[in-house]
Amino acid sequence: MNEFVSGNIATVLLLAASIGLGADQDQPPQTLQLSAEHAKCRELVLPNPSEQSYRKIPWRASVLHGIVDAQKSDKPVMIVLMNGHPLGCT
Amino acid sequence: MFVPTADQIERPGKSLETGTSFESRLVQKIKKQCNDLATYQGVFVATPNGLLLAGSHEAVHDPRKVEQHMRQGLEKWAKLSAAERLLSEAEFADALAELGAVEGKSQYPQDGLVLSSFCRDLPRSAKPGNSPSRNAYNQDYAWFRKAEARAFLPVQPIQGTTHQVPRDVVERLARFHFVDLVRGHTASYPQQAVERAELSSEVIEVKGNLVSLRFQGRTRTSEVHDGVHIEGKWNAPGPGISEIQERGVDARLEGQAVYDLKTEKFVFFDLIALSSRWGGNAYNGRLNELDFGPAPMGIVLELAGNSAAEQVPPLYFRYYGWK
Repeated sequence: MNEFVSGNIATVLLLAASIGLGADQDQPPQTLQLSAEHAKCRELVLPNPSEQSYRKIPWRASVLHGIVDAQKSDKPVMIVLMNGHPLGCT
Repeated sequence: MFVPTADQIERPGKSLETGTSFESRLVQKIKKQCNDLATYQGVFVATPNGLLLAGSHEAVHDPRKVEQHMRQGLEKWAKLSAAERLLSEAEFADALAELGAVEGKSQYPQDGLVLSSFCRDLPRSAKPGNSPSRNAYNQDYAWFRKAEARAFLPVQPIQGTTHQVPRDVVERLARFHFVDLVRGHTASYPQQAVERAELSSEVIEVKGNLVSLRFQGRTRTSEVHDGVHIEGKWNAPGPGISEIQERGVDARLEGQAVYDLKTEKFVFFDLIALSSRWGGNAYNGRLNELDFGPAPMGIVLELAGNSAAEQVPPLYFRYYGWK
């Protein structure tokens, strides 16, 4: 768990892209590849693209927001109601 | 074709089932047209003024049924006049006013830290029939205000410095986010159940405005049934249910992050909780399989986006104590 190994190029590139480095920061900050156990856990736990495909839908996160937008665009509203938020923890 | 909307029936300050707000009344109107089932859970296609076009309480987990409802809803929609499908000007003004008021009260920490949290069972021993389903996972969000987010790193971030993240911040993770939600809800942990809540951040590098951090830590929550049955937290006595029930999560934490001192925000965050969880109840799905552990569970926390869908409050937000 405490053993860190050498840098992970993919992580660094991803990080550099995500933070938009400025002229005074032409090198990304140092990042670490964490333990193999950490990497494996991350891979096992995070949802795959198929599992997250519903996230591509431009959901409104409340009925009220959906109704207002439906009225504005003159469209029907499709409502998914759950105990626990369907876009959060259900 | 549709305005896609997802919502939670009950959340702090809002009850679609029993409330009297414009939104609640509209949901109640839609539900009454569906059938007499007690539940409000379901998928519904409706007009903005609350006319139910299609829907059911059973279709939630069946994409083909949902598709049928959507097609049926569109057919009916096409036959309606504007007066039949839309809110009146006065009603729409009410809806807009209510939406403005709701958005004004939002506690979403725009300038703080919002993490997506994912949990899933991890592989167990190679015993036959002892492998968890790979399909079950759950998602939640963890919120931290600006000052709480800043507390993840030292006041003076100097390379090589190690900093203890304040206990109340780590306790939030332990009590509300390191919880067995893989297959459904269970109760969060009370403060007295927190046995350990330690997280340290080490400054690995400071480059310009960017501070790289490494996280390490440990949390442990543990509760023993005190004789009071609480639905959704403990199981009623029965076959396979031990007399003294226990539940808890022991989590080893490891991660890294990058904080931008100029924008005062994290630009990268990756925290993993390698956990052992035990206990369970009917709502979180462990009762059905008498799967009370201890068993491994992984939790990953990373930066959330800022779309509306990613601004959903944390499941246990009501217990954060934010005013």
